[in-house]
Amino acid sequence: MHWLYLHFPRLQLDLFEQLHPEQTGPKVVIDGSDNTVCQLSAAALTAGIKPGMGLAEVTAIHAQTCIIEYSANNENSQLEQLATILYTIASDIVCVASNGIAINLSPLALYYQGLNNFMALCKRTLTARHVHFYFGSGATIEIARVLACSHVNRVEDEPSLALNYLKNCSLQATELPTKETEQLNRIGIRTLGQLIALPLDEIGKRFNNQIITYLLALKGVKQPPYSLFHPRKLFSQYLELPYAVESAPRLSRFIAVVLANNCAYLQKRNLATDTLQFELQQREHDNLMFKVNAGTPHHHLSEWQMLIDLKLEQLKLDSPVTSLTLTCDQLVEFDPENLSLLQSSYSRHAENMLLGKLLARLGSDSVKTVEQVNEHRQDYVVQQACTLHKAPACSEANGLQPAWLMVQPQPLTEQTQIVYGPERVHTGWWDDHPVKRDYFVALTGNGLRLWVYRDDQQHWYVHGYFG
Amino acid sequence: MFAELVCQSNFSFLEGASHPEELVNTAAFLGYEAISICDECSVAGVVRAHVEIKANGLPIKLIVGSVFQLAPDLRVCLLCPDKTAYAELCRIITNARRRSEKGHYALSEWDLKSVKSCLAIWLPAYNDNDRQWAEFFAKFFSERCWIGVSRLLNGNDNAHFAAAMSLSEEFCFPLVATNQALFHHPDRQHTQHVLHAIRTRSTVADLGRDGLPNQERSLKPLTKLTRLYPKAWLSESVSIASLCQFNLDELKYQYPSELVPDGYTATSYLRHCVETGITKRFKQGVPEAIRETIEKELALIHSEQFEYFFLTIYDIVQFAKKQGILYQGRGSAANSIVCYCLEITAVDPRQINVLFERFISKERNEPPDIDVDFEHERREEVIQYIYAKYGRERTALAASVSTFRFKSAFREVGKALGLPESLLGYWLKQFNLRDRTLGWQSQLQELGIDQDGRTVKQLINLTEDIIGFPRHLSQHVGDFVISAGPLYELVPVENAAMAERSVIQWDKDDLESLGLLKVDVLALGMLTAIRKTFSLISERYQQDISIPFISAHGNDKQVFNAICKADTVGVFQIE
Repeated sequence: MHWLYLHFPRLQLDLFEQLHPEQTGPKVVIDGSDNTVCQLSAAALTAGIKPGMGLAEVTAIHAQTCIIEYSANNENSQLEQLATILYTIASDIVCVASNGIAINLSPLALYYQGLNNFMALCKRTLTARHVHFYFGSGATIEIARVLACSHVNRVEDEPSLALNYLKNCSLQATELPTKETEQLNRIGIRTLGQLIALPLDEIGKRFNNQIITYLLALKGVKQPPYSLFHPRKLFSQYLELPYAVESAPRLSRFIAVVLANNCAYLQKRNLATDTLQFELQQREHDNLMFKVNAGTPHHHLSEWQMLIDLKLEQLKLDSPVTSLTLTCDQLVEFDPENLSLLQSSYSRHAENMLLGKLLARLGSDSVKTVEQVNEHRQDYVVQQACTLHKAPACSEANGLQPAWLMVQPQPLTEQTQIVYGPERVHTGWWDDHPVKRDYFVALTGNGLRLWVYRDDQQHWYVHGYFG
Repeated sequence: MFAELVCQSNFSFLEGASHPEELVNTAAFLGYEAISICDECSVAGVVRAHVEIKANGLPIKLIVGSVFQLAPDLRVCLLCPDKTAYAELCRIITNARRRSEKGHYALSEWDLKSVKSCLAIWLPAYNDNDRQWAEFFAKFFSERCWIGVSRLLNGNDNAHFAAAMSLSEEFCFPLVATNQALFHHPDRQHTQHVLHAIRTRSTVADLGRDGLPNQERSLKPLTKLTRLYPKAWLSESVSIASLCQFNLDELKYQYPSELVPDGYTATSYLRHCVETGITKRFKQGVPEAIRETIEKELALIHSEQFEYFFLTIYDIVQFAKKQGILYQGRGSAANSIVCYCLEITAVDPRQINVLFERFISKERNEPPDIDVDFEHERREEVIQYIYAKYGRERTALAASVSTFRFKSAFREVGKALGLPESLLGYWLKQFNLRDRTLGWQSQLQELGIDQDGRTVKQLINLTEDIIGFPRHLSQHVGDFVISAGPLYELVPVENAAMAERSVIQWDKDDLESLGLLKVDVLALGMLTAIRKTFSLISERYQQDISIPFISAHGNDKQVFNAICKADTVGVFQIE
């Protein structure tokens, strides 16, 4: 097999720079566990900051350095986003740690008529996402990873050629634990070439099985097991906010970032949704969850943004928000009919948009619609329903239906003449409202057409009027 | 006087809500002249109705028929006035079923055009296409078509009556009253709703307007019918019934003629085969007593005309013998000397004391019973031989009717009533069905569930109702029916779930009730084990042994001693 490894050395910083293009000064990401620099911007490098420096040293070198705390959650979410994007151009993808993606090149060479074509497309795709990356290729993911971490940035047509570059790579670029690396350094082994040249039997006497397995992978003998990435059947993105946001409307610009990704995700798959779920992580309180509903499923960024802004106007935060997650799991096939310019459909679209606005402003509990229920019993035919509840399609009405149905049937008191019927409804045994009635259309002396029924005690009632 | 001509039993799976037996009993009780069991594209329920009428001496005529849906707006019921019409109906059902996957059918217009003998009750949809279909029936069912009119109290009855009368006048189709009954008693409407919900995988509450609105599709007393329909329409049903003279007892099974070589009759060929067998089986000469029994058995076989049955099994086991497939005949008729001579069984009758009366009894009026077990790994070769020899048109497996048992009935009714599956599963786990002192109903109460609660009461009653209701037809493990002519003229054939297998619409009890013969081709894993043992013995000790060789040695004391010590681990069967 032939693997490409993409190493993203500063994923969290890349996202931060996308969110804050105005910040041009030095920026570093600090690993909270030991307060050392793990990611840094070009400006920080120019200022003399180096990876692994302590927080005090960084501030001493450049007092105005922007400090961001490292978040594995944030990086994993970013990496998943990237893998999802790459999934559109490559099939066998493996997510490695929180900052690497491996792609199986073997099937792609034929598909793209050469690896150069695929690499050009891959670079274009990643550059459009404004992420920094290094890459390398080899017979196993481990070889490609070492080459990518050594900034080789080459893809060979034959995976075996990569071994030439591998020999010169330092042990620091490998995944060997620090302790073992130091042990090897002490006996003068500093490059992979030196290590690989040693007989495995000898190494096996001194190191554990994990190291042996890793070395076998580096020699290209055996690829350790891996699990392929499959995009989730839902959209979910976590976003760490650059600073705690105190008022809900101010969340709008950050939500816009994840919303844009969500809409792009839906549009590419011709999907739509009528529900977006947000989870806001509040600094001093429990997470705040809320939903935004549209009247009809769609994937239009501007319309969703408007509904979210309406919702945010109403939203009260208990304490400042530090991060947010957008989840969208109620996906349906996008129906372009909803947006047709034909009059009837267009007015329905407008109606749905209005419904979406009402839902956003008043909440789903306060907005009800009237629906006709598929039911023989006339008392239950018309019911109030939640706008989001999808009622089962009504089968065609069996008999006549009056335009005005009375909530409470009234005793029939006048002389009438039957013109239609009987329609016997004897059902509803399964709940507390069994019905046994014979329905008729009756004509009064004044020409009124009544919807009357006779119950099993032979009493007559008026249940509705025809127009 | 009235005859219900369109009536579906619960063999219209998950639609009809009464057993065929219940329908004929109720119809007889109500004083109907006749009743037609017309399941949808099926005659699976008619034998049970026929047996019930015969067993109880019910004063009612059974008419065989079937209803079909062709296109959304054509529903027609075909009735069989005579045996030719019956063969025709079976052919149509077979064609419609074979075109479709198991459990479905696809009738074509051509099928209806090819009907020359069946009577048609057309049930109009009362829409714009009625005239087109009326012209169709006028052309292809001239003088054999009636319009079935039903008062279902759906509000449109008067309009439908008027439309039917207009069609009748224009196309000269007589009108006949029918309730299109789906159940024998109005109370079964609840069961019908539940079955409908099971069929559509919904709940009764969600059926809405698709469910029956009332209880009108039941068998009604004559007094009520006279108020609902004009007298002429009721009398017409009796006139149609009088045209239908076909009785299932007329069905005669014809064995394939190729079993008997030229120059022989079935009797003489069977005797020839037995005599050949005698020389093989009784090399020392046949004892007088055995000869007497053979003659007695052959005379009985001749008087009951079972020669073909024995010859069919003889033919099959001869094939197995040639192929080296181990087999073993069993069943009451298998314990006969004729079967021993025909090499169907390997048990020497001199060593076992079998009552001759167990063989075939005239008094029992049952077909002979011979089951043949074959090695389970090679039974398919025998089945393929039968298909190859007699052709798929003349061979099919008997059906096995899958019915609702307690657990499935309880679960399905519960789901139809809207109870959560997890709860039903929990309740089912708590039942101890082996407890004969405490029924499941009482056990339900012990679980702390209020039995007087509406839903629980309904669950109990409806579960009891549908236990035993047929769900679908599946294939019997090995009952083959082989006929002289195309099998579909005797009984409809439909596709089984297994590829390249077809089943008839009757199960083994139905076949027995009508006196139709079947051949049991069963699979037995132990025979495969025995064959493998023989191979190992042959390989290791260079000694060829066979089942007759072992049987000929009689009882082995060492075996009995082992059994007495309960040293029977791995023993499959002790008789």
